[in-house]
Amino acid sequence: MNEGIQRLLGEGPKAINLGLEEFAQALEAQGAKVVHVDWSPPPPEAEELQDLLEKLL
Amino acid sequence: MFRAVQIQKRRYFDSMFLMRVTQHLQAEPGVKEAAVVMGTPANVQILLNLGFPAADLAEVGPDDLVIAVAAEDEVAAGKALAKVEEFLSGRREGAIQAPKTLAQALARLPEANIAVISLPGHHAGREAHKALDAGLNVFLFSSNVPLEEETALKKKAREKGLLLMGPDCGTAIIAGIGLGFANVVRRGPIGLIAASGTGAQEFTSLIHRAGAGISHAIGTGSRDFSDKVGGLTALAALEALETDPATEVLVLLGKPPGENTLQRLAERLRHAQKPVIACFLGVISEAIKKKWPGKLVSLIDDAVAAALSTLGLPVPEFLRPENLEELAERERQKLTPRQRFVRGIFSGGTFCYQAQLFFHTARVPFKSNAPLLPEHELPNPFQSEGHTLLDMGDEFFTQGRLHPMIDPTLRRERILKEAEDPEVSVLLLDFVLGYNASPDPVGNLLPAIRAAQEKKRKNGEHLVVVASVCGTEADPQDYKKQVEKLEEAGVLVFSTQAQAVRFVLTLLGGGR
Amino acid sequence: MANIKERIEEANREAVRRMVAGDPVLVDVAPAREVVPVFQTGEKILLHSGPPVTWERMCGAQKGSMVALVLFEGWAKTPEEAWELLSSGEVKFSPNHHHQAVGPMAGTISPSLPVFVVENRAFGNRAFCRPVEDRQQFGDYSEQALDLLHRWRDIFGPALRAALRVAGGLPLKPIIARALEMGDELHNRQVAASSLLANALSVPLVEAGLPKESLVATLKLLTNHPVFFLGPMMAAAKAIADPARGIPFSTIVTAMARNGTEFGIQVSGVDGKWFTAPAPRVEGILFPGYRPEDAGLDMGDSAITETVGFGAFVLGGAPGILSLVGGTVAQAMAYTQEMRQITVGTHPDYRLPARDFQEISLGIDIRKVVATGITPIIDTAIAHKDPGHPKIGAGLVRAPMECFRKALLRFAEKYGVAQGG
Repeated sequence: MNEGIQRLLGEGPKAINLGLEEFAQALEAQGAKVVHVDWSPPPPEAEELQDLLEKLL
Repeated sequence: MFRAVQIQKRRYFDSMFLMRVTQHLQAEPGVKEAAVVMGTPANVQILLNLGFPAADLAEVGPDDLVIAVAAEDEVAAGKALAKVEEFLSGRREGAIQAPKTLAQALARLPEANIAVISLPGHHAGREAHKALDAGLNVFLFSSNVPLEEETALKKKAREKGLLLMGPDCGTAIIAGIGLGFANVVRRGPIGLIAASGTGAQEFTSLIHRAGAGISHAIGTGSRDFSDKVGGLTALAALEALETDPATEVLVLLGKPPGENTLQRLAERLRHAQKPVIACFLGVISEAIKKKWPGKLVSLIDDAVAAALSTLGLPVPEFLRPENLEELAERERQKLTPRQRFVRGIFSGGTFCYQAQLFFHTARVPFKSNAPLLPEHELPNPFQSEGHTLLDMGDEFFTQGRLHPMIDPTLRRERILKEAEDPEVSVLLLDFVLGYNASPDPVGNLLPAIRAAQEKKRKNGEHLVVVASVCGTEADPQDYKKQVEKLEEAGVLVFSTQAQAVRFVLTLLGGGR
Repeated sequence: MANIKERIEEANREAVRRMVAGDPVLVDVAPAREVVPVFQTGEKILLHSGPPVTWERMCGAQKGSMVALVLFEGWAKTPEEAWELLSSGEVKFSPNHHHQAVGPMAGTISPSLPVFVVENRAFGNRAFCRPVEDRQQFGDYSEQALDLLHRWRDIFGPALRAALRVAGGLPLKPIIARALEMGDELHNRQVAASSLLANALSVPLVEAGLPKESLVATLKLLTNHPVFFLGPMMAAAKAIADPARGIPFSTIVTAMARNGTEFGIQVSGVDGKWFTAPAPRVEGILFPGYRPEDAGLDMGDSAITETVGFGAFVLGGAPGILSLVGGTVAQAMAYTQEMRQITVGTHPDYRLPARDFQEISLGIDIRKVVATGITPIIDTAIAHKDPGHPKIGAGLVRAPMECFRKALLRFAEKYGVAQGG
């Protein structure tokens, strides 16, 4: 039932990092797999379409 | 302009690959024009158009590699030519373009099992939704995510069998790997579920220093125990750690839960499959203590001791309250009659909170910018009054700045300011080590501490500096080295924060 | 009424089913006027790549390419006259995609230019693509550029037509599948496919009884042209994509095309419309002697190959052109993996050995593009920004999000899904 959690606890974190890049560097320093996202705020149109997507996808 | 042409017979490379090599060569210092091409008639024509001498190109065939460089002088051309082999080896390039979205990152790391999110609150919630939809657990460091969104996220996580740690989750350790602010601790049989980040850091560090270890430390986010959220993450974590083979004993740590949540947790713990120790940092009524189905304590040190005892492990010396009166009396002698106030300047919210609890229990009046009870409210956070216990990580101070665990500026300024006050006798400090904290938390504040001591000395006063260091010798900053630095400066360092506060109260004459 | 989400899913499954069923066969190389009806009206009309465009807004390379075709057709004697004629409004322009046709880069097609004719045997539809060369289609109208067109009209076209008649058509699926296994991505890299095509056509060419001079010239072209197959491939991709058009409720992309001024996409469920955005700049590498500021913007119908799952979508299987993506296998694999998040199906007959024979993915869903922020990635060549130049480079480009956003809004409007509320 909580397979996703068990996988996390069993395998240890394999992370996607959004935000402070230091968090990704710290994970890397600990030998964890991590991919840092070069994130930027979504353009206003993405927000505007969000609601539409909920109906269509 | 110096032009050089090299022809390498019957050496083939793909044309597009050579375009990239050409690009590198063009970027070399002093190079005006460069071409690394196969010697086809079309390419030879290009080289002629670029002004390379026809004589140099007369013998070229389509299976030959041609390296042509026009540079400002012979030396530059020679240096550039010498690099061609390196470019041809292709090893120079290795960078993968950083993904721009969660989905792109997931394509890069399909086996990912968690998203670590520290974006501004408004965006953080949406990305957390996306992460859950993609089957990822979430460590949500961001604060100011609206309550309704927190509840929605946690319900979604429950439906999907995933863990949502946060929002406002500072610390977690999963299978030995720290997320956010976390210390390097040994793995072991103790599982932690914590609503408080620094609380989790202090607990896990003390467990490590006691020789035991942590299976997982799961953060729930600061509001999880409130009735509005209802302990959704705590309950999910409880279930996970109960089935987790690495965990033998569980500790639940945080401020006292809301009434309904307390009830829910109590009911759930009645059928707990492993021993659970609850540590609620706060005033707990006798009624609750009676009803609670298991060990219930209200100090981090006691939780550590209880976990160790449950596992049949000895409780180390440093966790036992020592008789501090002798040391306190020695320090008391050095103070002037006017010096009577304590100023606690904390980077860890839980440390400020735990200090207030001690003061409150000892009936010593105090003020705080993050007050335990409304009556403790400090009207102006920049101006201390009487005994003052400051949470420098509070939003009031961190607006537009890094957390004081990373950026020491505000704490440094505050230490100097408090030293000006002739009524101040004691500075009570915390230092938090571990990943993502400052690389040298003690070093950051030492100059300010020394300056404060000096200031007091000049005024014919004495300054008692009391500190605790949260961390382990395995941390990048090394617990032992940090403590040594403090002790060299005459700072009284206690092995736990609770001990440090206890000493301060002893000094104040309560002896409690 | 069934839930709109279910109807979309069903329509998209059908769109992908049709693309997967596509069975392209190269049946002819014919002068465009013989097979493209619009050229039979007697009007002076030229076709071009991308969405519709006027002479005023047309990019330099496409203008140069038009000048070349006006000269090629004999509608003018000098480039200056040609330019005047084109700007006078006497020559009409129309997108290839409106005529079952596609063309690389400027993509220009005139009545006398030979086109590859590919028939999709599963559906009976046909598609056309002009031959690939590296001058006129990039805007070059020099004598050399025109000479190649003349040779196509007078020698290569007729010779290939004769050979295809002898062969009775050439199925392209086996060539495509094999070329994928040999490291082609079937867009920028066509080395294996071009060789396989040369193999397949050489005996029929001999058997066709052509004059020796014509036979040798054609064989020389066919056996020394690393991107020859792009023409048949684009016609094949167009023939595969067209049956997926016009499926009500489908959010699958049926065309991505650029004219150097605008990037446009077409979507099955809102057929006939173009959703456009300014053409993006190509991230790429340039031939010696050219600088980034010389480069024109993204151009060509060749993104039809990505539309049906090839090109940059299978970069992970084409280590030979890793230089396009900065030289690492990891990056190429990452792109291929990334594209799987915006597609809805896979093709069991086309596989990537380098990815443990993973099936290629196809069927770009505009909803997924908008939701994930991942836009399709496309391999492409680079033309000069001004008329009169040959090919100047190659690179990668992302389709602009704006196209997908507009398409999704139009889709919602058409199917009565209100925004908000």
